[in-house]
Amino acid sequence: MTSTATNMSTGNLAFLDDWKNKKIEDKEPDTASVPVAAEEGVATSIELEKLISYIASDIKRYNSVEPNKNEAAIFKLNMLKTKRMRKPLDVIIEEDGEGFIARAVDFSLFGYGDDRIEAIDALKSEIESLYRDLLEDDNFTEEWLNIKNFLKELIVDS
Amino acid sequence: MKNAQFNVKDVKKVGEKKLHIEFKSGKEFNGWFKLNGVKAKRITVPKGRKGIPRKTYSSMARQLGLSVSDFDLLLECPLTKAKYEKIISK
Repeated sequence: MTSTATNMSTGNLAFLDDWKNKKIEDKEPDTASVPVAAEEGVATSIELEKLISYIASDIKRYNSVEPNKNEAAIFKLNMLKTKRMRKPLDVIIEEDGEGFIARAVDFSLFGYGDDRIEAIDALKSEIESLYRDLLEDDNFTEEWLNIKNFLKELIVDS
Repeated sequence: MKNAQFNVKDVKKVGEKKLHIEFKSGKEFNGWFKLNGVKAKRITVPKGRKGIPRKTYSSMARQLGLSVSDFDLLLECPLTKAKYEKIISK
């Protein structure tokens, strides 16, 4: 990144040629969408803007790929419904029957919903509900007391 | 796995009658199983679902500390509270 920025600031656009040549090797060039650097080695600001928007659309396309419905995906939960968390919690989300199930990796808790968002929302409610239960007293097995301590460190009480 | 034979009402009923779990009604039903007076297992029973999907069924079994086949037995009746306590005390 640093070298790219340096190259761009000094007008050395060899990296653009490499990138362009690589695209040509990979497949037939899409001349309508691939920006081309000036032959003399100086790209205009329009060409650079084209390159940036091309890369941005590539990233956007990559991020918006819908995961295969049957595949389990790991998701980082950063917030609960009414509480914040100090660090993300790993959640597995997968298809279950006609809906989806979201499960916490660190303890045995799940949420079910008609879609992924509903399942994650249900899990968030479950975590808050469990946390409230655990704060009621200390009449729990060792395993639950450990989970209680884990959640106390994880959840920001406000 | 006998998830197709049972619905969420069956699970809640068995939990209440057999394991003496008192469910709290929130977004879902949640209840604690007490072993020797200490809260040992917590089960979530999703509301408003007629059938129980496979992974939800397995998750409920896991919450009770049971294998899926033992959970089948619990719901079918052969697994008594005493036997259940024996399993989770191991």
